[in-house]
Amino acid sequence: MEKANISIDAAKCAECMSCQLICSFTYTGAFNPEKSCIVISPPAEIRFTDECREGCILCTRYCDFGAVTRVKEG
Amino acid sequence: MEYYGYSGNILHVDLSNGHIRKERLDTSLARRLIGGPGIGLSLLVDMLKPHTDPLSPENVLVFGTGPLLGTLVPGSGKCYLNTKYSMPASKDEKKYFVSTSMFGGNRFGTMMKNAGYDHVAITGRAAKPSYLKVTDEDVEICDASDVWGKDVYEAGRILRERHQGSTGNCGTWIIGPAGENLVTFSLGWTDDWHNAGRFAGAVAGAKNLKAIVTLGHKGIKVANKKRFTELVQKKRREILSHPKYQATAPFGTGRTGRLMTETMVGIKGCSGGMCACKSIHEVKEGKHKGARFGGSFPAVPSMIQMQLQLSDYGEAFALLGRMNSYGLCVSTSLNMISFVTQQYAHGALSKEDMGGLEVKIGDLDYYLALLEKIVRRQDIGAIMAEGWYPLCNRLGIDASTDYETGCAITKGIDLLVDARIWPSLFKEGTGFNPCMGLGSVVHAKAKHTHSATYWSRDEISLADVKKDAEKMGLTKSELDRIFTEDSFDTGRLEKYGGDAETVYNALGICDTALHWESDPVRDIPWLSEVYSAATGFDITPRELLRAGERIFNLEKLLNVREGFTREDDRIPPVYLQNIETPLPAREGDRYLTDWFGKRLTREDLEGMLDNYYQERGWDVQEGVPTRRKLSELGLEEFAEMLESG
Repeated sequence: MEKANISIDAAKCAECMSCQLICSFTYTGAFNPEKSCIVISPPAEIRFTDECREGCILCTRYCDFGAVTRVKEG
Repeated sequence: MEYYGYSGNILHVDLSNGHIRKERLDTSLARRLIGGPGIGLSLLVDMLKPHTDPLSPENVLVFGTGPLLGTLVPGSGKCYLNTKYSMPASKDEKKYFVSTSMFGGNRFGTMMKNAGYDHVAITGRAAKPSYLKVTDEDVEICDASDVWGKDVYEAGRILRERHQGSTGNCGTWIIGPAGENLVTFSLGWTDDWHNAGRFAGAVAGAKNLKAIVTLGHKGIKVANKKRFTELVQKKRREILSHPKYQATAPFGTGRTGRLMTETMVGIKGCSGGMCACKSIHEVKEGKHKGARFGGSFPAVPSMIQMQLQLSDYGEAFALLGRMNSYGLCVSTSLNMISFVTQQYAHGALSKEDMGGLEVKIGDLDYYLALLEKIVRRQDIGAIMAEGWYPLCNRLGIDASTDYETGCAITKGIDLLVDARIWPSLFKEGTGFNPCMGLGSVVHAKAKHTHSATYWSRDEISLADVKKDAEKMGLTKSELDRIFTEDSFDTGRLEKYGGDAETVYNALGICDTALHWESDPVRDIPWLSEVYSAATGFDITPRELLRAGERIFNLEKLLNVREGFTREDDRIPPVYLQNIETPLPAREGDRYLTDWFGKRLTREDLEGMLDNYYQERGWDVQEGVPTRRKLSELGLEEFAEMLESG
């Protein structure tokens, strides 16, 4: 699925998994990339699963490379 | 019991008989030796018999993780490999070191832990080419006949497509044709962009082990989620607000030069993020357009171009890309090709020895052909593939003294960074490791040790060095032994740098990532807090540093058992010779100096070694741990290893 509040630039992804780690840690209580709502498929595809919560932008806060960024309103 | 930080299991695989078993992690062992190489080396104490041939089925490969790997702790992407390495480390070609490779990765280690295993210990030899699949409870030795012979990138692509499902989270450790053909300076390759296990590719090749594939769904829990999150966020804020961070983080290691920045097509990092030190580069135009390589050390293409006198950077990229795809150590390949080419020019090798090659300095086609001979073990390539000592013994010369351009060799290894040149890369007193040369020499596997690097700051002073030592948790008496008002003792400081580096390794943390981006360099107090929050095992900074020392001593014991002594911690003779550098800022002859620029003599260097062993509490004459030190560290049960060398 796509998210209106998050912009994706897969070319910038360093595949560090931080987005997957914070997502799974927050919503499952453990660092578990397979249970994350964001999928990073090498070489350069980023997508969200249907379980991704509307409005959640946690992954953007932990992306240090500009691959997943918050779209500011207005 | 439930494990936090740790996955709680060690996986044992015997490739000879296909036996696979799971062992619960002993928590008392984890408290003493933390994890990573701490646990890995302790497994080798029991599983690896002294004087085992590194290429025999009896050698053991232990892949390890630390309790913080796979979490959000910045830099928590380091994996470890403990084994007996394939490079002969003595002139009589009878000694081989037992040591630790630390390597980056994003999915390999994270998925190994998510599958439920902190360590995977592999012994035996498979009857045919195989790879190991580690996916939760489904552990299987699989047929690798379709990927055997393929380069690391192609084999990785095939295995990931086969096992990663819809999520793309499959991790891989793979050897190339060099490892398959038992080239002693071959290595593994992790998750496409991280070289992993210098001199261990052949150990896997000898086991008919092409790859390990990891994928897991179990999750890594932490004991105190609230405290752990606070500590991670504190360190993230500290790093993100560091003046250097925003200027450097987006560029991987390509940050260091215009050419590297202009050719960069992407950066890759380890799990845990923040510092992505692997950059991918591609030639944009000309004859070698499209030639590509990935790696973590930005000076390598320049080193290749200068040392082999290639006409342009595109040729260097092409050669480097080929070395990587074969799964060869770039440093040893480069130095050995250069050395053999010189020896041919001097008449020590004939055209027949070279297998009929047209030897032309600066000719890419010649270098590629020689590389092919190494990997296929043909003609001179078959001797080169055996390592430095076998090659030099065959030629009747000593590479460490007779190598014109200067290749520092210790324990059979060409050191990645020449201690004479390294300070030249930076301003005086800036950014270089005051213990660099010594740290390389005293380590079991001579290397470009990270101990006491200060890459994060433009200016560094003696006060900064002391501040770091204080942050490492040194006592007043220890500090007084190291520091005077206007100087410090390199040998004594290196002891604590080595212990602190070992702490990072045991935890699964990349010290490079934190060095580049944060101050102070060694935040042992923060690490002890985050370790306690993650695992539920309370530990003080001093105890954590002591655990690092314990692991360091354990690694030394494994090598004492193999016969290594102070004689093997040899200062490379070329370090006492001048070396010419073309670097504009430091043009002309360079020589080995101390922190303050004073030229070092052999007596100075031996004095540094004396002080290093003394600070370690080791026997200064022999350069090995004493029983008293082992007792102090709670390692009494290993004391008999002192007698078996």
